[in-house]
Amino acid sequence: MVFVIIFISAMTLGTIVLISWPLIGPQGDAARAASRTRKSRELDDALNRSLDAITEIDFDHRAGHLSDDDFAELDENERARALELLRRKDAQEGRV
Amino acid sequence: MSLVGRAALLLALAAAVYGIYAALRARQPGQGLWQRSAEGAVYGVFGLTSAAMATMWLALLTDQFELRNVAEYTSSSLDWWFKISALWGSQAGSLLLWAWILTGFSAAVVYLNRERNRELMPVVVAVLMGIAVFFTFLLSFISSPFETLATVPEDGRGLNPLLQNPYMVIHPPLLYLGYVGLGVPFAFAMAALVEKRLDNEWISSVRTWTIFAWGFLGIGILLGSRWAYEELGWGGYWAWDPVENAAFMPWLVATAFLHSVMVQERRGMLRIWNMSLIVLTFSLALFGTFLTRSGIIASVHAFGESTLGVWFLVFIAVVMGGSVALIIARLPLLRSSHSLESFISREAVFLYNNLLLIGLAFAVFWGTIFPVISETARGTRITVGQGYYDQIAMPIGIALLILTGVGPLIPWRKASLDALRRRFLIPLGITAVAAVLLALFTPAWDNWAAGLVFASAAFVFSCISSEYWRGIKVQHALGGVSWPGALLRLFAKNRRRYGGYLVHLGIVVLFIGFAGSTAFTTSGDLVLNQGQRGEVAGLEFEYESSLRERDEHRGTVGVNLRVFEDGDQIATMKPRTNFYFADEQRSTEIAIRSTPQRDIYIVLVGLSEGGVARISVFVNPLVMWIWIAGVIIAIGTTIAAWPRRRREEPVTADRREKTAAGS
Repeated sequence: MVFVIIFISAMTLGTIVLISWPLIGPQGDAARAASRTRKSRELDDALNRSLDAITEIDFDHRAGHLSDDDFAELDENERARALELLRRKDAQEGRV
Repeated sequence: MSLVGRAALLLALAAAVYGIYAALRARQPGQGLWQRSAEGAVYGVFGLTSAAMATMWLALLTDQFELRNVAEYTSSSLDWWFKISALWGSQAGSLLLWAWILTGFSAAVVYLNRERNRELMPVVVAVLMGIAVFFTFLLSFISSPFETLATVPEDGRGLNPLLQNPYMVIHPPLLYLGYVGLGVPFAFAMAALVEKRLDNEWISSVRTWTIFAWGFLGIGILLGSRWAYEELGWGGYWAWDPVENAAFMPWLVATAFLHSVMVQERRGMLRIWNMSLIVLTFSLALFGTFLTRSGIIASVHAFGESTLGVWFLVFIAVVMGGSVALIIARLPLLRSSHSLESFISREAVFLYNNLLLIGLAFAVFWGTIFPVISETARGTRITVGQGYYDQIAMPIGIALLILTGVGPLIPWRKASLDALRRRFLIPLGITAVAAVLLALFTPAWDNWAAGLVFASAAFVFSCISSEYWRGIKVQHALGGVSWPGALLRLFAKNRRRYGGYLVHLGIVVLFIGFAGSTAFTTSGDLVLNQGQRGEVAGLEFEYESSLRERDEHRGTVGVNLRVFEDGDQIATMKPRTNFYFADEQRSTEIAIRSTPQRDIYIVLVGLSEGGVARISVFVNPLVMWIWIAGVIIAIGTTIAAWPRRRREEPVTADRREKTAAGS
């Protein structure tokens, strides 16, 4: 019975620590840095998706799945999106 | 042990409730720390349900017969792996498995999205924890796996012999991985609606989850069929049983979603449709769980009657009502940016595929619930027979099979006649040759539907092969790789597409197995004395000897049969029947001789005291291809769902220039 009580107490304590630590633990610079990293990662993900889409559109065109007109339109749109993301990334990294 | 398990589940319930509160609070500006706290709650809930699972397994393995679940589903003599699987043999235990997989997926979602989808994550967490609250509530207050008995029996009643099969060890967990996995795309869809982030980002976030859930559900269904084929002894693997249908319906709708989502990604169309499909898929997954637990349907796969049905109905109503209200509220934002330009285009083919899949899902749904509706309305339960399902599923299935080949070959937006001729000339030629060869050398056209399936299979196979060939040529032309290298690069560069085509090939093989085994099955019953021979489907069966054995747990009777074809012995087969004393249950051990050409399937129906054997023989052509198809589909799904390696290096200057220059 003692073991059961200890085990249940440990589960309860562990859960409380897990949910309360972010609220009462040390914050500040680390949290802000993490937020910046997240934003950078999200931008990287969007950029990678856009670059992959450009490659896929090109592949589809070469394989004959897209007509020349459709390819031109889709390629132009996706490249514009990628360039916008690149500009945002440059701004985020202080390159402009 | 009961106390530990119950405490873990109650704590999990409390932590899940807190998780919802913290996640919703995190939606307010500047409250990011609450999101981290909510995510801590998710990890906590998973840890607690894991503790409950571990406690339950420990109880099962160490014969803690004071627990009802242990006493009613195991016995001290049961093999340890069946004690492990006995957890999901019971109503409450299977709910615990549901909750455990759900919270495990929730923890994985939180971990994998710790640096992405931050705007969506509060609602994602709230929705996933909402589902967790429902299940942990049921487990804590309605159907506890840790319920204790007033009188502790000396030994348990043992596991139902039908469940003492290796496929029953793996089939339910795979099915649940599918059912529960569909909750993740649902949670992201709800988050996208709430946060008004209705671009394609939420879709790319859930793509892998959806493919994996779909794959697990599909493989789970196939393994369940294999179990039915080996255990139930009626010669088949699929009977349109309500519980089989319950798993099949969300699989059909998820298949529709996986295709229509590509139209949204490429053309910005079908946004409302896709949202509706994901809601419907998850609702049907819940409906399937409800169906097996409510006691409203009679099925060999269902649990006994319980009070859980009402709870599930209320939960499904909340899920569907809330989701539909959200979709309606966001209708202006869900309008398509393009419209269908031609009925002969890739997006149109996806639309036809969707309509057929949803039509089939609705027909299956109607057939499944019709007995319940008829009983409610008329007081008489009218059962829907296999004929109803076959009549609908056959034409829709063949149409879907043909579209499986047509879709990949048709360009987006619109297809010119010249392009169609170029793409389809060779596949149609191959199909014509195959149809003639089938007519000349096989009995395939004796059954027109089967003949059509075989000819369509040749068409789809040639379409997909030509698509692979086209891709390989492009990769090779890009330079730097050999021809085999080009194939590998094809998979590496576009896993989803070419893994998906492999799944299509698996579907072709699956249809070949279905057509052969449903259209050309031969069966017969034999009554034989020792030494006598009988004939079924051109094969001779000689009753060589019999056996009778018994130990303290079960009695076994069996016969040894020698099988002859054209005068040559091709096999000795040994069907058996077991009788378990503890629960007075009988189980048949079917003898199956499986080859790519056909299965010989023998059931021992009875063995009299005088030694007269009554056996049923089924000769099922091409069944092995169904299981081979399962392997191909599993490989294709794994390739399609395999996550892309994240580019860690920054975008190079070279790539920037190329992007800007359009080269």
